[in-house]
Amino acid sequence: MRVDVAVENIQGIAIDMLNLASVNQKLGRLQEAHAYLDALLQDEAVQYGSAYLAAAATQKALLLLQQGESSDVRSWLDKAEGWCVSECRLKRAIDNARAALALHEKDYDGALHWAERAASASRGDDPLEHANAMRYMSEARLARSEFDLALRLASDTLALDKTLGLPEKIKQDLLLSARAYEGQGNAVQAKHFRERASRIVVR
Amino acid sequence: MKLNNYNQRLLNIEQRTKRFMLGALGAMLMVVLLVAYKQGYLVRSTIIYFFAPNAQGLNQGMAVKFIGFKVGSVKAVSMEPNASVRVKVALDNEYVHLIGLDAKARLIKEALVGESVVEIIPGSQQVQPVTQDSVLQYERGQDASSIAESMAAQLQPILSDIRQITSSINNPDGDIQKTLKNLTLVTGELRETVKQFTQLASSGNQKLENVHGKLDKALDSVNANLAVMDKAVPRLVDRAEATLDNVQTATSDIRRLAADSAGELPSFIHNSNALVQDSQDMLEGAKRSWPFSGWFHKPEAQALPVDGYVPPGKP
Repeated sequence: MRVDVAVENIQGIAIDMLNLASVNQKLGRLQEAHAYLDALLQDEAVQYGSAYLAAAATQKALLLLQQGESSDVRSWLDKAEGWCVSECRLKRAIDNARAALALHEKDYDGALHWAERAASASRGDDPLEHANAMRYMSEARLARSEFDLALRLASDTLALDKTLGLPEKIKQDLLLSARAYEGQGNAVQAKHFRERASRIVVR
Repeated sequence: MKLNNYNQRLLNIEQRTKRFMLGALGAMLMVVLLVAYKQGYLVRSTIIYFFAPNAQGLNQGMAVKFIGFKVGSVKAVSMEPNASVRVKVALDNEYVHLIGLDAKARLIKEALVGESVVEIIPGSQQVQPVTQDSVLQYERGQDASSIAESMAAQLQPILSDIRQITSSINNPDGDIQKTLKNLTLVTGELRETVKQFTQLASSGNQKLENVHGKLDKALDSVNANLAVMDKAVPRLVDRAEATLDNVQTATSDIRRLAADSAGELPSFIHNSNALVQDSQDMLEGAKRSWPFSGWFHKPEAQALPVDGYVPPGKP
């Protein structure tokens, strides 16, 4: 990033800041992640590309959701959608973020709406966001006590996440399945799935 | 009585004579008719003529033929005032319509030995046939003598060449005689060569027999050496076992040395890593510097994908 700043490679600076924010978010250093995203979003001297701004706004919204601060999430998602124009693949992530926000607000119909939209847009094209959408759908079904549907969605999501090799999400899928089994009254299977989830070490 | 008998006898003789005379007359008449028939007097014919330069071979009564059939005969051969020969031919009327005015008469011999005949060479069918006193053109065909003369003229140069060849063969200094002499010499030399080959083969056989004897001796020697080796090999095996023992000892020494140096290996590996890192840094610096910077394709910087996933518990 220092090199890009030295030669004022604007595109490079945007990419560097987005990547540094992602890495810090993964490492749990959320304030550093916010700092990089704010530097990108609030820079008045340099005009970055709309695609980078859309990515930064989406990431900002997800970061706020992760921190449980949902007040500004919708506005950042609206900004992201405004910057996301013409063949913007980010729309699926934005829809999923809206689904997550709806779940946070216990708006399960809204969550299903946004998740189903994201799932249909990403089917066969973007497995990462498709799995996220199905997971949110499973959670929404679970919240609506539709355990069979929730279990089926969780199973499909688990299979997809295994192909992607994402331990944290696999663990989440197993826990969802366990909750669905619990809802069905199958305590044994629920226990087994919780046991399986506990064995996954997330770094 | 006697007179009556006599008269009766005379009467019989007279009657016999009459019969004889009548028979003879009839026979003569038949002969005359036959001759007339043979001479063609009884056949209606058309008289035509042709003129020949000479009368050689032309005779009265000779046959006239047309495409191999007799169609008439020569009636007269006479000399004209201009020293040409006029030949009168009588053609049977039966065949006249086949002979046109442009037909030709030719004197030919039917065989090398035989009579000459007048051959009518047919002309064009479109012209009118010959009529009484028509005149045909005449050409003399080749008779045996003229054929013989022609053949003699053609054979003359051949006979001359044969004569020259014969004289060349007989000439002692000629090419053929020289070739024969050379062939004789070559044959003699070949005979000598064959004789030398025979001697060589005989000598070769003798030498092969000598080599065979030497081979037998060599094989005997090899057998003797093998017997010596049979005795020496067990001793060599003993020595090899000792050598293997030494190798095992050396291996155990190496293992001990490795164990002794195991403590130093991590630092060595660490130093190696540092060396590799330095090398990578140097290479990276070189890749960014001119002129190497143009040699390497700079990878495009890409942003990490935005994951629309919110970790559990907090949403």
